[in-house]
Amino acid sequence: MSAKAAAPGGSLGSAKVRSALARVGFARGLTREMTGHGFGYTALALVGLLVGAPVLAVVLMSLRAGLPGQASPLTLENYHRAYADPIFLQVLLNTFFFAGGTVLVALIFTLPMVWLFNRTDLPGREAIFVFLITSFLVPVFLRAIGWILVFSPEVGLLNSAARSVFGAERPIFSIYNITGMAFVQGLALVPASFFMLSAAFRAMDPALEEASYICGASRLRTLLRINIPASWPAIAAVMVYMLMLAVSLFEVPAVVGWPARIFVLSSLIYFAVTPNVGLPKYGIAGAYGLLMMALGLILAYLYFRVIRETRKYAVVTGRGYRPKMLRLGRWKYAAMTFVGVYLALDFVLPFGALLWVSFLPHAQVFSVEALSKLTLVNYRQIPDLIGVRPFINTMFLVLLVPTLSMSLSIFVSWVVVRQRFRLGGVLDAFAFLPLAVPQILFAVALAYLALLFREVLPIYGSVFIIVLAHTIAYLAYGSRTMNGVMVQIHHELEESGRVCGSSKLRVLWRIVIPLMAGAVVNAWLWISLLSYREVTMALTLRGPDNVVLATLIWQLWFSGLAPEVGALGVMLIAVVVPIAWLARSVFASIAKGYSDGR
Amino acid sequence: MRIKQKRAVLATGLTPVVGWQRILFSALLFVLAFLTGAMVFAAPPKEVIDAANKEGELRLYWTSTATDTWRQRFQDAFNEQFGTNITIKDTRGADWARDTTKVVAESLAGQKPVWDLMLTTEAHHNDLYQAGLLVHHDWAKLFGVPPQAVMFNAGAYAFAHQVALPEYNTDLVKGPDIPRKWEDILKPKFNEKIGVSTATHHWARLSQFWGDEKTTQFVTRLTAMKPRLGTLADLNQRLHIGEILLVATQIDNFMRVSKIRKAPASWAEDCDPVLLQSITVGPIKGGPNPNAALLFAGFLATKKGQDLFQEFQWQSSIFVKGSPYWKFVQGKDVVILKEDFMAKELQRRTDKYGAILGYR
Repeated sequence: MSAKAAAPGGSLGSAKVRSALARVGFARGLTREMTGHGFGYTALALVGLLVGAPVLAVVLMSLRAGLPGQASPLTLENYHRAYADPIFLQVLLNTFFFAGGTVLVALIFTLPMVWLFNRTDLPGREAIFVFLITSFLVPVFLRAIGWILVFSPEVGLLNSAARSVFGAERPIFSIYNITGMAFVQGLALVPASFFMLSAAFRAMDPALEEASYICGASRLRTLLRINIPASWPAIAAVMVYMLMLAVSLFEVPAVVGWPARIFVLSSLIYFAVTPNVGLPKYGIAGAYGLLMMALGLILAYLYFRVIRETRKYAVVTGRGYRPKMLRLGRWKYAAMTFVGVYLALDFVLPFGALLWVSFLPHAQVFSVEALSKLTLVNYRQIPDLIGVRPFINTMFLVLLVPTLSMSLSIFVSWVVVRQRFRLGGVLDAFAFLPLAVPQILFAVALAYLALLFREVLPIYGSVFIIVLAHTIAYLAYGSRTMNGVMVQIHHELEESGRVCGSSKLRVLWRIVIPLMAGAVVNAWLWISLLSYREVTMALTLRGPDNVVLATLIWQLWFSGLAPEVGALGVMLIAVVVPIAWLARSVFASIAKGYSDGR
Repeated sequence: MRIKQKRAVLATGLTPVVGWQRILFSALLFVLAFLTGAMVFAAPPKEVIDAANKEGELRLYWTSTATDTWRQRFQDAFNEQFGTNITIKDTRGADWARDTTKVVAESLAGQKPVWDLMLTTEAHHNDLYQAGLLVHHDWAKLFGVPPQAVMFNAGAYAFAHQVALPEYNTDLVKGPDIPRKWEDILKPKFNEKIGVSTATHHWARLSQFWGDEKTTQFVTRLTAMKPRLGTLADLNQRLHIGEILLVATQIDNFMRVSKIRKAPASWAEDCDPVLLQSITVGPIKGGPNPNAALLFAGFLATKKGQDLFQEFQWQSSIFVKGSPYWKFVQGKDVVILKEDFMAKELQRRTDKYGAILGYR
C-alpha cells in the first residue's frame, strides 16, 4: 500500500502531510525489505557462527606454532615448511589427477545409473537401492582387502589367472597407481552422487523428453541433450562436492597410493596430524588446509554462478504433470549388464571380501585350503569387543545429525536459491566451506572452542559435540542436494502461495518442501549413513562417554583385527540395511502423502 | 612399611642375587605375610587406598584391543589386590599421539583431563611430562618399582615393554632367507617385497644404538629397495596374504594377533639389537580420580598386575627377572630410549628417516 493511495481526503494535501506519509511508505517498504532479507541475515548469522568460528580457529592454527590454545606469536613458518617441501608440487599434481579422475569415474557410473533408475522401467530398482546402501556401509579398509585380493600385482586373482592362462610373466593389472586410486575412489563415491542426483532426475517434467522423442531424438541423445542439461545445477553440485571430497579423503590414497609411494594432499595432512613421535603438527596441517579452503571457495563461486540462473533450470511448474517411465525394450539387457558390472565392482567385490574375511582367522587369498579354516569365532567375539554404549551413541548420531543438518540445509538453500538475498553467494560459500576444511582440523578447532565455552555449552566429551560436528560438516552435502532440487521448482508455485496470502515460511513448509519431499528423504537417509560411517571427527572428539561404532571399527582395524572388523561389518549391514529400507519406504510413503496434499 | 616394601620387591622379582640368609629371611617374610594376610604387605599407605575407594572410579585409557571381559578382569584383580571397590571406566584408543594431544590441549584450556591414567609409550608420556602433566611419586617406596623403570622425574614408570623386530612370512621365506641380522633385510630378494611402516621412530631408536650415520645409510639402502609403505596394521595384512615377504619392523601387538590366528608370520628373532619401547604409566595431573589412578598404576607393578598384563597383551617388563621378555632379551643387545636422547634427538631423527623413506 503506497502513501499516496492511503491519503484519506483533501485536507491531507499539504506538503507536510505528504512528506509524513511518504516517510511512512518508506518505512513500510523498508520493513518489507528487511523481512525479505531477515531470513537471509538470520541464516548468515547462524551458518557464519557454526562454520566461521571453527574455520577461523583453523586459520589461526596455521599461523601459530604448537597446539591450539598455546600462547605463541603469529608466524608463517608452517606455510614455509608445508609449501617449501620438495615433494609438495608432485603432491599437488597427484592430487589434481586423483581428484579429477575420481569425479570422472563417479560420473561415468552415476549418470547412466541415475537415469536408468529414475527415468526408465529398469527392473529391480528397489534391490539396487539396497545394494547401494550396503556397499556404502562396507568400511573402506575392508573394501581395500577385496581390491588387493583381486587386483594386486602379486597375489591378485586377475593376475594369477593371467599368469595361468596366458603365461604372463609380469602382472597385467595393478591398482597401485593414480588411475587405480581414482577408479577405486570414484566407485566408492557412486552411491553418494547417486543419491544427490536422483531427486533432480526424478523431478524432471517428462514433457521435455517427450518433445525430444517426437523430434526423432534417440534415448541417448535425449539423455545427453535434455536430461543432463536440465539437471546441470544438480550435476554441478555433485561434481563440486565429489571434487572436494576426493581432495580431502584419506583412506583410498593410504591403502592404494602409499604402497607405490604416491602421496596426495590428504596424505600430507595425515602425516602432520598423526606423528609417531611428538605432538601433532596442527599448524602445518592448517597450512595445507588453507589451500583446500581456497580451492573450496573457488569451486563454491563457480557453483553459485550456475545456480544463480534459477529460471533456466525450473522444470517443476504449476502445470500438473506425472513423471512417466521410459520403456527400455530390448535395451533392458544392456542396461542390466551395465548396472551388473557396477554392482560387481562396488558391491559383490567389497561385500564378498567382507564376508570372506569375517569367517577366517586372518586375511588370506581365496583357496580350497582356506575354506577348511572357516570359523565363527570372529562373530562370537563381537559383543565382548563392542559393548552397548557405542550402539546408543551411534543411534543419537544417525537420528539427530540428519534431522538437524537437513533442517539447516533446507533453510540455507531456500535463502540462497529462492530469496533474492544479496549475500546469497557468501551464505552458500559458508555452507560449502566445511567440506573444504580437513575434517580433523575442523574437529580439533571445534573441540578447542567447546573447551573454551564449556560453561555456556557443556557438550565437550559428550556425543552431542560429535552431533554438532557432523551437523556442520554435512551442511555442504545437504545444501548442495537441496540447491540442485530447489532450482528446479518454478517461482510461480511460490508466487501462487504468496498471492493467496501465505507467509514465506508457510509457503516453504506447504509448497516447496512437499515438492522436494523425495529429495529430502534421500538426503536425510544419506546423511544418516554418512554420520554412521564418519570416523575422523568422531575419533578426534572422542572421550570415555562418546565412543561410537565407527571409531570402534577404526580401532579394531588399526589393531590388526581385520576379521573382527569383517564380522562387525556383516552384522551391522544385516541390521542397518533392512532398517534403512523400511525407513525409506515409510518416509517415501509419508512424503508422497504429503505432496499429494493429504 | 619395611615389610610392605619388601613384598613389592619380591613381587617384581627384582631382588638382587643374595646369600642363603637373605633367602631364608625372605621365606620367613613370605610365611609371615601369608599368615597375616597378604594385602597388608602389598598395600600402599592406607590413606591412598581410602581416598581411592572414596573416588570409586578410574578413567583409564589403554589399548584398542581391550574388551569388556579384560576390563572386568583388571577391575576385579585390582580391587582384590587392595580391598577396594573401584569401577574402571575405560577408553580403548589406537591413536595414542592424538589422544595425548587431547589431554595436553584440555590442560591448556584449563579443563580437567578426561582420563586419570594412560597406558601408552614412553614417547607419549614424554609429551605429558613436557606439558607438566606428570606428578612425582615415589614408585619404589610405594610399590617397589625397580629404579631403572622409573622415568620423567618419577612422573611415570615402565611397567612393560613392547618389542619390535623384522617380521617375515613363514610360508614364503624359509631357511637361509630368514634374516639373522638387520642387514639381511636389505637382500635383493626382498626388493619391492618388503614393507616399511609409518612407525619410523623405530629407525630413530635403532640409531641410538648404531649412531646416526650408520642408520642413515641403512635407511637409504632400504628406500632404494622400493618398499611398500603403510601402517603397521595394513602391512601385517599384506604379509598374511603374501603380497609382501617381509615387514622391516613389526611390533609385538601384531605378532600376538598373528600367532593367535596362526597366520604365517614370525619375527626374525636373531636380529640384534632388539628394539624396545617402554609401556609407561603415571597419573595425569589434575585427573578426576588421582588416588585411584596412583593405586592402579602401582597395581601394574605387582605380580598379579604383571601376570595379568602378560596374559592380556603378551607384554612384560625386561626389568622383572624371569618374565617372558626378561628371558627373551637374555644374551642380546637391547635398545631402550634414554631420556636425554628422547628429549633431544628422537623427534629430529624420526622425521629425518621418515623423509628418506618418503613419509612426511
